Amino acid sequence: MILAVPMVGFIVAPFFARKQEVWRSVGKVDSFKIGETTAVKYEDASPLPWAGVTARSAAWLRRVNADTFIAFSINCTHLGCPVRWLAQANLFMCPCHGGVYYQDGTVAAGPPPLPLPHYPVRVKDGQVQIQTAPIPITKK
Amino acid sequence: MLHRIFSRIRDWVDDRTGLPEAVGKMATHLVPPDAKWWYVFGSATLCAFMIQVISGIALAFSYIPSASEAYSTLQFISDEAPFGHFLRGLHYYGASAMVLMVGLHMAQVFLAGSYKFPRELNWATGVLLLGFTLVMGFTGQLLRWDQNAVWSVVVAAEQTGRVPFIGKWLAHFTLGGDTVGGATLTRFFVVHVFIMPGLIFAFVGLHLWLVLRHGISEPPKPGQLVDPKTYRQEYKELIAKRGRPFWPDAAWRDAVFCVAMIVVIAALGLIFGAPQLEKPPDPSIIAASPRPDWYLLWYFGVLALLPHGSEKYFMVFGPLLVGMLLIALPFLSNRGERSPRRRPWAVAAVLMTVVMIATLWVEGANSPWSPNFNAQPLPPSIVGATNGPVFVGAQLFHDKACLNCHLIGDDGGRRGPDLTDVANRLSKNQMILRISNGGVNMPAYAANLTPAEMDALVAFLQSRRIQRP
Repeated sequence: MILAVPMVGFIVAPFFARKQEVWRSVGKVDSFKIGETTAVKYEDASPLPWAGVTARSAAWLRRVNADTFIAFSINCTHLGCPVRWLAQANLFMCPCHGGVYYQDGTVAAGPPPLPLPHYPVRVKDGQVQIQTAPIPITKK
Repeated sequence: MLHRIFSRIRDWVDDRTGLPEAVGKMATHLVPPDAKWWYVFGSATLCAFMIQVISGIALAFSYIPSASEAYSTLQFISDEAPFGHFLRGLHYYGASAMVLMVGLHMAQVFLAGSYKFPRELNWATGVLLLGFTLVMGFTGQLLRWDQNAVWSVVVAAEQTGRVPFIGKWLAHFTLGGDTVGGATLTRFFVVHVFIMPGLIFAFVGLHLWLVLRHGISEPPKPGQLVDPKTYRQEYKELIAKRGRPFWPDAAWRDAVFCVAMIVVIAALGLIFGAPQLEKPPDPSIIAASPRPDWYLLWYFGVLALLPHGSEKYFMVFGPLLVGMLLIALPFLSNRGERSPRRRPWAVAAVLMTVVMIATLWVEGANSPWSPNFNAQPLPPSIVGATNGPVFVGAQLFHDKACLNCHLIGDDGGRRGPDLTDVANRLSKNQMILRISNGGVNMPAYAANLTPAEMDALVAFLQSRRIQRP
């Protein structure tokens, strides 16, 4: 017991710790054109000091109108691969197993069981901010 | 004088450790006389594992299992360290050989019915070793900490996430947190370098102990049935009458095969080297096309080709069911005929498995379901027009990403049907209907095209006609 509790605790404890999500600025409001969808990068909530580039996350951000933004997860709901936005076709496409989503994130074709999740997004002090979030894990 | 000193030292070591005597007994234990080249795959697997241990230890001298530094140490190993590129190649092709040899060993044991009484646990420990080998393969690919590795972890997390009740926790455990990050790589490093090799050593020990305990199975003869009541006595008599010492009568084949395998692995490592590193492990680089290494490419195919909606059940229960069935095999049937000549279903099962994996592997390698993101606009020679609706339609065919999934001649993707001669099959109205409504694997374009665009696109497709005599 004296050995087992600290050892198992050390290994599994980080997985029960609730991380505080934070808002990350991804650019000035004016740097996004209305109607356009662009990839934005930001840092995870509380990266470990040695995380390096792995601490980065990305989202697809669309400026719908003057003050409305939508942030889509880049993770396909089938198996998590990074979906790409095809601007002229108005579609998100997944390189792994051919999942396709319409511009609103709903499933257009292929194996994805759910629409692309949205991330919380807000405008503050002229900056567009996205709230950090866990990688969406599909349960369906 | 020297000779006497050496022999005194040897006697002293013999006496104090007892090892030479024990090893000698093991090495010269009697084996059936006809166990020839078919019996080399087990020792070849062990031989490949030893290559992995040695090359792995060597690589660990330079590899830093840190999320931020692993990639640059891999670059150093590949580009700067003396023999580094070769060593990575050795480790990669050694892994490939190990997977291949486990497969061959298993097929041989299954076909020869060697898993039957009294060797049920030889088989069961072997199945576990197969599982450990595949885990080593997957985690090893992840330690090549590039973009492909990062996305493979995400794919793994999504799969474990499908497990009922504890899925989310498992996915969290796989990633080492909410997202890929500082804690992700180290857990796979621990699994790959400590936990799995430890388990493999332990189970190889157990596996070999069982081989010694029950003896190497004699090559099967049609009509010679296994009866648990009499088998041991029969085997004992066979060995007493015709047995040969393992060393050197049988072991020389193992040694020859092992050396040949090492030569092939080293040649591959030297000529082709290890897989190229992809982009850095930055999860915010979206242009990525994750693929598993070749030994899991067939499973990548399975995941693409499953009927939509059944993935959840398959991903969780598929591997579990296969594993349980394999382990259960000798407990379901441990007696009777061993010869493959009298067990056509056993031969059929192996053939079907090979054909199935090979087919899925080819599909996985071609991955026709993946959109072609590199599709270039069609050249005028293919389009056949430089202005007008057909020309505009051809541009739209590219811009609206139709070309990502459909072939025109040799250009485009293979997700959907080849449209090179679509006008031979579909009328104008049928085309409009299909483009507007889409299908299972095709988006509906009704809201995505203006009427004029639809007309141009259909005009282009109507020009895709091949005159047949």
